[in-house]
Amino acid sequence: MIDVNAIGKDLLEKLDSVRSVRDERSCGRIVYAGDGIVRIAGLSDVKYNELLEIRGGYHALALNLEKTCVGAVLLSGEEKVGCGDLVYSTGATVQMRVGEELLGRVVDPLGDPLDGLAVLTGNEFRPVEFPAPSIMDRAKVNKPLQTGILAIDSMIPIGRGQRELIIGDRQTGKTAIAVDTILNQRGQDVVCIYVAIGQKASSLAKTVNTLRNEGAMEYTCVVSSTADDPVPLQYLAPYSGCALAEYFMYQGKDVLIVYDDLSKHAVAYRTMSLLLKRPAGREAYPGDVFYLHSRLLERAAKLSPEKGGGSITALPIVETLAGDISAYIPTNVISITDGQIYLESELFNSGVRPAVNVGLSVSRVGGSAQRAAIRQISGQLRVNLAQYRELAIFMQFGSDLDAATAKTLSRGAKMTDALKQRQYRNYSVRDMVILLTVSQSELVDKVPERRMTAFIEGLPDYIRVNHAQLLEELDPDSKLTDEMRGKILAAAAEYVDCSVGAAESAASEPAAQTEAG
Amino acid sequence: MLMTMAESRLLAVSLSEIFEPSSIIFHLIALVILTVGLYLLLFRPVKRMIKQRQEKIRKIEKENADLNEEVKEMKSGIERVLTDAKKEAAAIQENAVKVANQKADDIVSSARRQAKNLVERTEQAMEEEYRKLQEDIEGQIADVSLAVAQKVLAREITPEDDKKLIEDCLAQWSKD
Amino acid sequence: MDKQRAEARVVLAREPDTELSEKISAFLSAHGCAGARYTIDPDILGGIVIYIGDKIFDGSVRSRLENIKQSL
Repeated sequence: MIDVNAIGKDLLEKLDSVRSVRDERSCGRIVYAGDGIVRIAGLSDVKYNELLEIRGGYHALALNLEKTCVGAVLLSGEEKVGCGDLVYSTGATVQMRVGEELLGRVVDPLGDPLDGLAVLTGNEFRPVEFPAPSIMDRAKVNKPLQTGILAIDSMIPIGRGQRELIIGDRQTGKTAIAVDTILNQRGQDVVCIYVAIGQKASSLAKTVNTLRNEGAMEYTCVVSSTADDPVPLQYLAPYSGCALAEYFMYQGKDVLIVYDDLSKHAVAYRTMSLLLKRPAGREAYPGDVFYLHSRLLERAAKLSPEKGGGSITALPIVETLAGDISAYIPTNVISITDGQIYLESELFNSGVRPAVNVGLSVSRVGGSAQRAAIRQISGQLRVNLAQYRELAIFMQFGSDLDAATAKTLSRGAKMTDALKQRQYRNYSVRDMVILLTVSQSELVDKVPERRMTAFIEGLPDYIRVNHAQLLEELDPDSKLTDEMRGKILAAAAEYVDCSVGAAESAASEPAAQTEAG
Repeated sequence: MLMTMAESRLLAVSLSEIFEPSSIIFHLIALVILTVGLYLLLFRPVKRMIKQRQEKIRKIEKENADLNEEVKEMKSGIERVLTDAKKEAAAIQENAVKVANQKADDIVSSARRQAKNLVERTEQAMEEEYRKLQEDIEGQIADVSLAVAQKVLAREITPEDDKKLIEDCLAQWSKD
Repeated sequence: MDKQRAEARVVLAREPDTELSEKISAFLSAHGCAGARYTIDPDILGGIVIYIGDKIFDGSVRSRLENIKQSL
C-alpha cells in the first residue's frame, strides 16, 4: 500500500529539479507587522497589486505604495511573519489556477483544494484581475438561462450574459434561488461556479452537500473563503471565481457564477482598507467600493461570435438590513446589474416561497431572454397580478363584493398559489408552459383555493405520466397554437376531475336525486 | 160466460168512456211530453256525466302508463350513468396509480444514485488518505534529511569549498 | 534612489582572503557600487549574500537548504 521505494524516488526527483542558485531579486524588509498587514521598507520598484513572497513561503499583496514603505496584506502566515523578515517581489500579479479539473472541487481563492481530494496538478493559471471584454467584443443577450423557478422564468427572465442581483433580508431564500438555478443547469451545457465569501463553514458544507447529492458537482466548482479565512482571501475570492469563469468563457462556453454574498465582500474590503489607513467614506466604506464591484461585474458579459460566443451570467447576492435597499452597497450593486430579484421577508413568512416581490423585481433584458411560448403566455401575468394586489387590499375590509371583483380576487389568489414552489423542485420549460396556461384559464375556477397548491404540484407529474406525447408535441420555441392550448386544457381538466372532481360529484349527487323524486 | 149482457154492456160503456178518442190523444200527448221531458232533463245529463267520468278515467290511465314509462327510462338512464362513472373512476384510479408508481420509481432510482455516489466518494476519500499518508512520510524524511544536512554543512564546509562556492555564485550572477 | 553610489552590504560565513575580496569588489563595481560593508555571519553556513539597494543576491548555503525544504 505505502510504497517506500516510490517515496524515495519521488524525493530524489524533486531534489534534482531544485535550482541551485537564485537569481537576483528585489527585496525589502518588514518594519511593521500586525492585523494581517505588513509594512515593508525597500522594494522600491514593486507594482500595485503585485504578489510578494515572504521568507518562509508566505504571500502578500502590495496595495499601498508610499514614498518610504510599501503596505501589503498577508494572504497566509499571519502569525508566522515577524518584523525584520525579508520580502521578495515576484514580478507577477495574483494568479488563479484554472482548468477542467477544477469542476467538482472545492478550492480556495488561490486554486488550492479544500475538499481533501486529490491535489490539483494543472499548470494553467489566469490572472485574478483581468480587463472586462471591450464594447466591440460584446453581443446582445439572446439565450435564456432557465432557473427552473416559475415566478422568475415567467416574469423576471434571465439571459445568458446578464447580471441579475438577488437582494433581500437574511433568511429569505437568496441562496436557495441561486442553488436551484445551479441545479437546473444539468444537461444545459453550462459551467457553474459558486463563490462563497465570508460564509459560515456549516452553511457552505450544507450547500456543497446539496449540490453533491443532486449530482450538480459534475459541472460546478466551488470557490470558497469562509468567515475564518484571512480578509485578503475573502477579498480575492470573487475575482478568482471570475478568472475561472473567464477561462471557460473564452473557450466559447456559457458560465453561471454566483457571488454569495457581495455584502460580506464589501465588509472584507472595508476591513482591509481601514487597516491600511485609507480614508473612510460613507458607512466607513472606502471611496472605491463602487469600483470594487463594478470591475467584478463588468467581466460578466456575452461575447460576440467572433470571440467565441461564450458568456458569463452573474448572480450576485446582496443582503439588506430590514429591507432597506437604499443603503450604500445595495444601491451601488443595483445600479451596476441588469436587474434585481427582490425577496421580501413578509412574503416569505406568509408562505409565498420563493418570496419574490414581482412588482419591484425587474429584469432589464426581459423578453429577448425568454422562449417564445413562455413569453406569449406570461405577457399578461404581471398586469393581472398587479391588479390582484391592488384589489387584495380592499378585500381585507370584508365588504360585499360584486361578482367580477370576487372572480379577480379568487383568480389572483390562485395564481399566487400557482407561483409558489418548493425548494429543489425545478420545472422544465414544458412544465412551465403547461402550468402557466392552466393557471390563467377558467379551469382554476373549479379548483378550491385550499387545494390549489396540491393541484399545481401534481399536474406536471400527471401529464408527464399519462400524456407524455402531449409534452413531446409541445415546442417551447414556437408560439402556442389554440389547438395545443385546447389539448393542454383537456388534459388538465382530466386531472381536475381526478384530484378535485371526486369531492365535487359527491356534493352534487343528492341534488340530482331530489329533482327526480 | 162469466159476465151477463148488462155487465158486458156496462163494461163497453165504461170502456168507451175510458177509451174516448180525445182523452187517448191527450194521454198520448202527455206521455210523449213526459218522455221527451225525461229524456231532456234526466237522460241526457246523466249520460253526459257518465261520459265525462269515463273520459277522466281514461286520462288517468294514460297518465299512469306514461309515468310508468318515464320511471323505467330513468332507471335505465341512472344505471348507465353509474356504470360510466364506475368506468371513469377506474380509469382515474389507474392513472393516479401510474403517477404514484412513477414517483416511487423516481425516488428509488434517485436513492440508488445517491448511494452509488456515496460509495464512490468514500472510495476516493480512502485513496486520498493513503496518498496523504505517503506525503506525510515524504515530508518527515525531507525534514530529517535537511536537519542532518544542516548539521553536516555547519561543520564540514572547508574554506576552499566556501571560496569555490562564492566564486561560482559571482560568476553565475555576472553572466546574466 | 541613487543606486550608483549606494553602499552594498556583503555577508560571508568567514573572513575572505584577498583574492576573494578582489573578485567581490570587481563584481560590486560592475553593478555600480562604490563601497561595501562586510559582515561575517556564520549562520549562513557558507556562500555569500550581497545586498545592493533593494536587490539581493542570495547564494548562501542556508537559503539553498530552505529552498530545498520548500520545494519538498
